Amino acid sequence: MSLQESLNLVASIKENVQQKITHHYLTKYIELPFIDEDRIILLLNSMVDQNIPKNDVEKFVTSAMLIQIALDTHDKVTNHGEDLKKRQLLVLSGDYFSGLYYKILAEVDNIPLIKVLAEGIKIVNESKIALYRNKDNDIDTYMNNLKNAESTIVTKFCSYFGSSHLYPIVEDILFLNRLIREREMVNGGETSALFEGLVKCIFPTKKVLFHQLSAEMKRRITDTYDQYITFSKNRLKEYLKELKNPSLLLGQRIKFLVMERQTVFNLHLEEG
Amino acid sequence: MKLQMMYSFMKADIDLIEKELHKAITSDSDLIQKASLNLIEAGGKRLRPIFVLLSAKFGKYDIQAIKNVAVALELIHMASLVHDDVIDDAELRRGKLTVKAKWDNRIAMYTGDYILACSLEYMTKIENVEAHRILANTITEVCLGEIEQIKDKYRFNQNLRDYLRRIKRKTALLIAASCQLGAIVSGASEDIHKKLYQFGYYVGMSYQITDDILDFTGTEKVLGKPAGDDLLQGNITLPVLYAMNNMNARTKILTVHENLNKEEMKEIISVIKETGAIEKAHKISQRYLQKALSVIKDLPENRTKKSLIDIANFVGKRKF
Repeated sequence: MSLQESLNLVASIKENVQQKITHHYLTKYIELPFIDEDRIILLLNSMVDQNIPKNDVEKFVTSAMLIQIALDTHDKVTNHGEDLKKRQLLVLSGDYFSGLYYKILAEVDNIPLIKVLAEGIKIVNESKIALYRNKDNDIDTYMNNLKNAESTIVTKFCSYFGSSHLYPIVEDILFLNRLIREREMVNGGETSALFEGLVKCIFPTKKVLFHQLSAEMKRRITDTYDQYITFSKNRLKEYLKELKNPSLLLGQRIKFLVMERQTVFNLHLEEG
Repeated sequence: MKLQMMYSFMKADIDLIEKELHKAITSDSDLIQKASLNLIEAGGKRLRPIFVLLSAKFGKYDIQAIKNVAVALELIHMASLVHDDVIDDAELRRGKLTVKAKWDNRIAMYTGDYILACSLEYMTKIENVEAHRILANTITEVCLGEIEQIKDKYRFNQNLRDYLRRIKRKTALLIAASCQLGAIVSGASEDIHKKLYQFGYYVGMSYQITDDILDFTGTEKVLGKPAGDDLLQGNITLPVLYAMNNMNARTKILTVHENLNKEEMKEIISVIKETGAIEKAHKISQRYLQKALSVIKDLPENRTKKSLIDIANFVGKRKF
């Protein structure tokens, strides 16, 4: 498939997903969920050269995207301080999107894929609970849980289509995307659950938020954070060399991630 | 007669389902394990698995196959309860602290999602595609019903049709699916599984209307929540709709808001009762029950059919 054909397919699937999750009442109260094109690209790559009819490809990818969106939506349910109706609708929309994943796969008779993705949902939620509680986590365990939470739905999908060789690429792309996204949030002055988690890992006795840390402590966290970004980028550069055709969409995305999406910390560290 | 007595001939199978429920949720996360066990051990009527097993008796009954559907349906119900408690901000369920109260909303979300995944994993042991299509469709309809319920909160100008449509999605469809799936997976004929679907649907409608009546007639001790709580939360149920035909009651009901105090609510409940709305709602519940009994009239006479009739009658008369 040419680069342009791949781009068209990604756009078409994105539109399908968008259509499925658009509900006249829900959209009045909650933001339309983010549809991650990188995930679509990775899911599509797991089915390359498998002679699966295009219609089925679209349905399989749409269902995996819906389950990811469902789980992401439930991450937004807070404990306090949110409009009650919004919270209620976040719960229900996540449940509804989960139901749609099952419905689509039941309609195309793919019961084994329902099972594989259900296994993935279990792992994602175990990882999210470990991340959320963050008890006695060392930083590697913490980051590993994050990696699992971000990538398991896609890696399970890959395993189903016999593309386990993509695991490392999937894990690093989705992990790196999340790290960069959270860093951008911190740069924009927002609170990041990930950074707060790292404060707990690195300074377990400090009962303070990231922005309340001293400049030196902040730097220690951002340096550690940057190391994980660098490791992931370096690994992706290696995969890029091994990729059969780096000019195709996946290669382009990896290049963009490791070379072009350059964001750096612009924190005012002295303000600790 | 106690509910358990109505299907005592299946005790061994019901016990097996209980054991399977424990087995179904095994997690590396001690918290998920604890929260789920808490929920299973809190009990419940297990209506859905019972309907699955009873309906399966109309086909080639194989407990090793049918248990997967029974467990899956109870787990779906459980997962929805964990999430419903976040929606309703509920502290207690069946006299025990809810997952969201014992931990918090986020833990409840993750636990509910985990249980739903366990349920689907169990269900995939069944290869019958029709069964999956019915269940998947039911799950999405139930969610849409719950979204409608939020939309309709404090919307006092809704009509009987809105209410019936909402309770169909909220309660009746999952009970109907339980009855139908038991029959489908055991290979019963289309005529039988469609009748059982109808039976479950009517029983479910009657069940929910009774539930809505109990919100006004039950005590806090039995209900585990204060009387009138549904109305306080803005849910316009059948007794409220009927009471609103009375001008005095209507005026009072229109003043309901979420911060109403106990005394004010007590007065409104009393006004609703005086209109005869409870009796009218009860009549509708009974009418659904009669429809349920009528639809299974033609099914073969056996112990199972008698159990279905007994359970339907229990649903119509229950006080909790």
